[in-house]
Amino acid sequence: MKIVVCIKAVPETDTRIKIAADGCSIDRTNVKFIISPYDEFALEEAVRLKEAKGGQVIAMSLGGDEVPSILREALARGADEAIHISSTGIAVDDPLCVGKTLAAALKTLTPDIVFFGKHGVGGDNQQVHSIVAEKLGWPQVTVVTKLEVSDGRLRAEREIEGGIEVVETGLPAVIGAQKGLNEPRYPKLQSIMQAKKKPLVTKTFSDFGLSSADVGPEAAGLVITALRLPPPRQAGRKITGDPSQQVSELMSALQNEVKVI
Amino acid sequence: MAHGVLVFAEQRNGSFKKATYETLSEGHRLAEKLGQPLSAVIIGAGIGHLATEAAHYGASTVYVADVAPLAKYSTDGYAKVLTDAIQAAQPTVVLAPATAMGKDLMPRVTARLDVSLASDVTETHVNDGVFSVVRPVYAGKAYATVAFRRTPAAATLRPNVFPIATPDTSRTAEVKSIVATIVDAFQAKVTDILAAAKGKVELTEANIVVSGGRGIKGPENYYLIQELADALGGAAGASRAIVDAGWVDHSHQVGQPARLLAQPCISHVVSPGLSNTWRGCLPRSLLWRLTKTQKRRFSRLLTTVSSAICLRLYLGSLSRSKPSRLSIKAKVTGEVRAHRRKAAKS
Repeated sequence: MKIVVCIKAVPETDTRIKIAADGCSIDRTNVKFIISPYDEFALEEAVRLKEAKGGQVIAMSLGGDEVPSILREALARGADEAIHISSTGIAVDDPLCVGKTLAAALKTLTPDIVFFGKHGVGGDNQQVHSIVAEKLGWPQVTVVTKLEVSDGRLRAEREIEGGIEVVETGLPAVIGAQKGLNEPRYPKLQSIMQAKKKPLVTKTFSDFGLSSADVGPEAAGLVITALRLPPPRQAGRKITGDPSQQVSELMSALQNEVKVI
Repeated sequence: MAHGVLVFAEQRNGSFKKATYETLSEGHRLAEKLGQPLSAVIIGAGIGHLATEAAHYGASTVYVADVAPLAKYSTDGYAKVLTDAIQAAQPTVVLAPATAMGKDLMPRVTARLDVSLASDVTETHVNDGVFSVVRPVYAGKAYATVAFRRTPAAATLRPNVFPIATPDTSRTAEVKSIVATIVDAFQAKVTDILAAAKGKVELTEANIVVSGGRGIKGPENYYLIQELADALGGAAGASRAIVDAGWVDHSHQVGQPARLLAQPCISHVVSPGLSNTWRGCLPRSLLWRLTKTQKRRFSRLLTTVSSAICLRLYLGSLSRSKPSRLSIKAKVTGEVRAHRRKAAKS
């Protein structure tokens, strides 16, 4: 099987976000980039599928200078090849432009199945995998917590509010991985060393037959005009005293202040 | 010429979701600000009656696709119908709730129409007739103002953010049937829906959430959280730490990056890092830490447990006669002692 996993480099989740001087992006100085947490489940599932069925895993990521290091990590975790798509000239704030670029790249790779994380933390759009599936005309299953692949078909369980939807479809297909799908592995020292020898190529959108009119700033359907920090949160309130005092204080607050009971 | 606001009115099992009422309400407020009409799209099987309800929330045109193959949600089927409806209505703005369905469906539809979508929007604005939105990014650590450059502008609205308007039962709507050429052979088919335990309040729609953290000391104590939640008519939540530790299923996780809670919320978290839970709650939410700074072993557990027991007792007695403070205290002391004995044994 030819398996592609699309991953994104995102600021470490405990990063303190600062607004850059332009007022509509984040200050990237001293920000450490990691594989988006949900993409780790995608990568692990891709590698497990390869281990079970044979084939190859290609890790692909669109972004800037932060990308090669996370692609090396993906190679250490079991991917065989890596493709860095340079984000230069692409309107990365618009998921549509990102999705179009990835779809064009995937068309040249002709995979059997493509994995994404259910959403890239940071942008928090939860769109790109669906856009890619649409542009390729493939089925999608998003927020997947369980996956079985056999004989050119797949059966997936996806999380919905208060339940699980079971979806069956043929291949090729696009999968959005949710937490719970698997337990990602830590790379061994040996595989980290081997990863340095695996191929990592850099491409631009023009390599996939796209032009700036397709995915560049002029193609963007939405733009971020301002970025602000949230207002500081008010402190919580601690209820102390012996249990019965706590109860009466809490009950009076629940009944009189927030009126939930 | 594009005109109007269109809302995808999500239904499951023949009724609208809470988030649908919020989206319809916000859609109507927007339509009034823009001076344009509101239309709604309802997709399913046996759902014709919902058109009247959509009208009560301000829709003047309701597109209904009511056929058997659409009984269960499918990305392909629903995307086809919704795209057709949008092409027929030619709206300036398309809104959908940012639910499991909305998040799966909307990017597919907007990609087909080659327009852009803003996800999980928490504010909408109309300035000089121009529509823009605000949405959280970096798990709520920053808020981005987003402007649209193509028509229609599309957005999914975060549940539990926008207020539900009072319905006006005198309103009526023109109902248009869209029985588009629905292909029976969808690529991906929903073959089954495994529902979570019946009678439980759903986390994202609950008004009260009781959430447990590492302070409960082990999965065997989670029943306290569940029982208290049941007693309050709320839902049981869990911190990321105990979900990661495998004590409870991921579907209970609250806070970013998991579920956004309804407001107001009570959290019973006794875990060192509260920031993620905070981030998952809305500004007006109230969060208590029912901890006492006690240095003894198990102190945190006992405080958690005793508080949970107190509340359960109090609520249990509420329904009967009003108990004296003394009687509660006696009961509480007894229960806490019993638990302490149990804890000491194990």
